[in-house]
Amino acid sequence: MIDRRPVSLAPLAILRIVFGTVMVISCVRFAALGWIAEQYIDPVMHFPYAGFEWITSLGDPGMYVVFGVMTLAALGVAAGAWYRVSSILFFLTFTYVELIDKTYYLNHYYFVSIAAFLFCLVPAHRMLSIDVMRKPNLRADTMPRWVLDVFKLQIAIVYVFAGLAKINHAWLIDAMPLRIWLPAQSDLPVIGPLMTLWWLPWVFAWAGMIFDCTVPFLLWNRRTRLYAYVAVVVFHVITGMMFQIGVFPLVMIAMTLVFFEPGASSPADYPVQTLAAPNKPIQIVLALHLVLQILIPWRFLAYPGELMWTEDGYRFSWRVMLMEKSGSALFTVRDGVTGRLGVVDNSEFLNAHQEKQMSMQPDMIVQYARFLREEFARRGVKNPSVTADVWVTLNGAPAQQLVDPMRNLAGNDIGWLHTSWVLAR
Amino acid sequence: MRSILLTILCAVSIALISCSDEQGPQTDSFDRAEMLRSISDRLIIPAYTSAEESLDSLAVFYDEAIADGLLSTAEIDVLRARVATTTLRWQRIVTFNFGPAEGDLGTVAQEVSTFPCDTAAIEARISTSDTVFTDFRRDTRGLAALDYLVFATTSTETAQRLSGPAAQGRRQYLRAVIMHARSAIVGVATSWRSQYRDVFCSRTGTDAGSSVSLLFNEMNKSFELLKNFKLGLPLGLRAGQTASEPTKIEAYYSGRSYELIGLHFHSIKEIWSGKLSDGTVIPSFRDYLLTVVNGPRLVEDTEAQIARIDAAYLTISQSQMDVLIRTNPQALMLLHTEMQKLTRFIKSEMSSLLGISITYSSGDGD
Repeated sequence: MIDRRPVSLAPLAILRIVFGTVMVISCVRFAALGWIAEQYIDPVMHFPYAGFEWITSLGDPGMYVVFGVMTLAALGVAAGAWYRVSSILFFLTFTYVELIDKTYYLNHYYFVSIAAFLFCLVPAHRMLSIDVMRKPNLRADTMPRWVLDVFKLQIAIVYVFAGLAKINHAWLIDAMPLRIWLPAQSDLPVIGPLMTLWWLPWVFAWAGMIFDCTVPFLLWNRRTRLYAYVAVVVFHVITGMMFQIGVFPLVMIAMTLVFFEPGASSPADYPVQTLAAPNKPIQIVLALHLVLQILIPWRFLAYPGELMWTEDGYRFSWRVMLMEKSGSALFTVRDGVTGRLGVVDNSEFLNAHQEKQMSMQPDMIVQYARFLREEFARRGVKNPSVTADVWVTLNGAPAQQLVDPMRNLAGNDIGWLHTSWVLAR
Repeated sequence: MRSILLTILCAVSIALISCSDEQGPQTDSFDRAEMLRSISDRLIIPAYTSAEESLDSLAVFYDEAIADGLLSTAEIDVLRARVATTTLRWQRIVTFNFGPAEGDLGTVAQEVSTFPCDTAAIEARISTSDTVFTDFRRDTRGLAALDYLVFATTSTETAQRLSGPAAQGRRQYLRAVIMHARSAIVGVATSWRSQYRDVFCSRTGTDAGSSVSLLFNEMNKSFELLKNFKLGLPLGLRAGQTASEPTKIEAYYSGRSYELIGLHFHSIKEIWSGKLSDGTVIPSFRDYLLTVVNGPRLVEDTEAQIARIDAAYLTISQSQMDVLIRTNPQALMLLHTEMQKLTRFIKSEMSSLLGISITYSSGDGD
């Protein structure tokens, strides 16, 4: 039976404050680390997403302005000030930055984009906000239950898909890549010496899978909620200490707070204003969003080949910390008239992070090949073709060639379809 | 709750039972701190100290030799021998271009070993007595400039070009080049001995910025530089080049470039294998790899490829590299190809198996 009683708006307002604050911290951290220039201004080329090639970096000072606006917007979200404008601006600036270059793709950035989108659609500013101080009649004390449920469902989708992705032979039976990652952490304070225990990777692998698959339900259930939240904190703090994953643990510890709603109470507890009936179009958008969220991670089934090798349908599916993959990519440019071959020095065009990501992901390899064709045509190479000798190691296995080394990659189109020039593993 | 705990327990025990036979316990973990101590105390610091000593002896000799304003052919020969020693010893530190070797305006390797030099720019600087080396014209100083100033003409001619009142400017320029390289290397060597050694040894992690990551990164960067610039560039193998460029080599005038390539590669091998020139073996990446999953296989592959590079290198009888490029480029191209094949072993596969982070960027969280 669906509980249709209104619930307090307070959890949503608190979630808004926490989310906005974490985003302000995240923006300031990003800028302080010099990443605006390093990731979005200095690179010679970027790797846009298929269909979003029209999105380019605004360079200097444009990118600083974008991050300035993003930070102010996050502050606006946290404070609930000019909330509609702030939340939309934050969503747009954050998502714009993510779309510039997919080598920087991270699941938690994707999650932030989604959360920012959801915040645009909900009345999170109608309590504990500057907007309410400005316009007291904005204040509302309760709201329909579905508003909170959307956030909970979204978080549940993240964890459950992350857990389902871990149900594979490499993760559970071989304990890969944890058998590589854990011993590398042996210098950690306190827990460091444990990291070299031979059986620990299996414990982490199974515990991680079970945690991801079950934690949303345990958070949902009032009796297990507190224990589950303690587990969330412990889990994310440990992974945050062990791996270089930035603000992600903070984001998840903050966002899972949404499960702590006060139970539905009798109307007498809320004598103040209750929000009017939910806006129909917004409900339809949210329903569509959730359906897509449940479908998108399965799209890999439509592609042939091994998912972790081809990465067709890998992104946007909550496959987090799932594989250890690394490649070396050597590109050769051939002059179509003279036949002369020239070897490309990737560091001339890519930063270390871009090169690392490109060297193991087929779609980026093709994008780079096309860039090289244009670049060397401009430098006087006639009708250039580009081939690549790419050797990729997955979960510690001996490196294998990822793409057909004879194929002119600059002649390929990239898009949503499977790429035939990717070699089978 | 109880059923979940039970599931976890079952799952873990199944996992342990199913895997314990094939894997076997990995009890001994590799001591990264010991590796860092060995590499700094027995490889890096001795290499810097020896480069420093050769520059000291070069500088002291040169100052004595030019005191009377005249240089004899015999003195030029001694000078040449000391420049050569310095250049050879440089190949042992070129791979440690991090920490104190990184300045605000560039690295010591950029400052000391940029090649080829711009001879016209050097002559222009000599004629205007311009020895202020604070600009970015690194092709007017460093070892390549030294190579030009000391080896471009015969000993007798060089002695003449550096003698007498009219040669005052040239003598001073040469002195400035020696002193500049010396102060750069002395600075790094002193820093390693005084405080950087402890900093280096204390960063025992595998994260970006850890000493293992730095050592790994710089070894690979140095290898890429060797392959792409010391070999690929003069051979004309870089994309966009339309012909070979035989004069763009490290020591064109002394004719020792090919020997230097061998020494540079030897330094890479020393870091990777821990097998030092004096025959001793210290813990290094090779030993580290032997302790991790799939590491022994990678050690085997890497050693096989190193052997192929060594074989390709040795098939070429020592000769002037520019002549070699004009007469037998195929042999050098083969060496280049074999070097390219090593990259995947010492870069992507090794970083993967050792869990070394290459960049500071955040990874995907869980």
